[in-house]
Amino acid sequence: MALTKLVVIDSIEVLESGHIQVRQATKIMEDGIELSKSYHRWVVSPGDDYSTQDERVKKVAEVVHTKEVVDAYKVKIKENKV
Amino acid sequence: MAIAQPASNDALNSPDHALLHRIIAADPAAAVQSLTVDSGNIIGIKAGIKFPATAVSSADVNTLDDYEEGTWTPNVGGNATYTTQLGEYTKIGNKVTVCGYMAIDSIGTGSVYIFSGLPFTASSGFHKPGYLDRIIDFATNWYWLAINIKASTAECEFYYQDALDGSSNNVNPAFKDGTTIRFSITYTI
Repeated sequence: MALTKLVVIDSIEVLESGHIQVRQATKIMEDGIELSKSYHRWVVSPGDDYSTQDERVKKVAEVVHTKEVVDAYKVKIKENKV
Repeated sequence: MAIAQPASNDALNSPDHALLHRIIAADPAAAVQSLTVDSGNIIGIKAGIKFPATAVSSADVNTLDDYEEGTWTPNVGGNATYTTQLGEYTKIGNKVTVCGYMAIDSIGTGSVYIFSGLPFTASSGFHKPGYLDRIIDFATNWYWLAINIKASTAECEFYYQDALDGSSNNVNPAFKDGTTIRFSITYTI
């Protein structure tokens, strides 16, 4: 009967705007069976520094956060002054 | 009217019980039914409703398609340090409620009026207003103060009036060493 703690990025979601929504799941397992799970979330926005992100998130950001996407996001933010 | 428990040997494709087999607890002999429908078509559930870990979103405005609870970490970026960074969220459908508690130890190169780390990106359209509970050591004297999540971002921004000219701005700093804020915001994603 061994308890183990597993921390994984279990969801990487890319929005049309270029935002990358990341979810980290922390699972407590007993002999391979999940006893409990909790989530922690954050968002990597276009233009954000993603150098310290999880490797898979970094790979996604490298592809998604092109100059065009970052520039378009900056324009959209300026337009959203409401 | 309670839904009758199907017999354990009923075929899944039985016209009467096919659906019930799928929605009632695995043990068909259980004394307590896990789901009932009364005469007014009100559904009763004995435990909870579990949504898939990965939401199957629906564009239908009458469909509840997701529920999730978790944590997030409010931060001002840069090399700021903190004595407390706590955040919780609950997502129901397309509505997210976050609450947070952030105590800045040293602001360093962090933003002086924006914090980020929110768990979901806000929808576009307009900034989502929030509620401030407590502020300690705000960097600027103010007459009124507001907090909102900027549209199309995962960032939260302060606006305040720091002069009696009626204008609001966030030109002057909001955060400094020792600033503590507690807040709650409900927003659409």
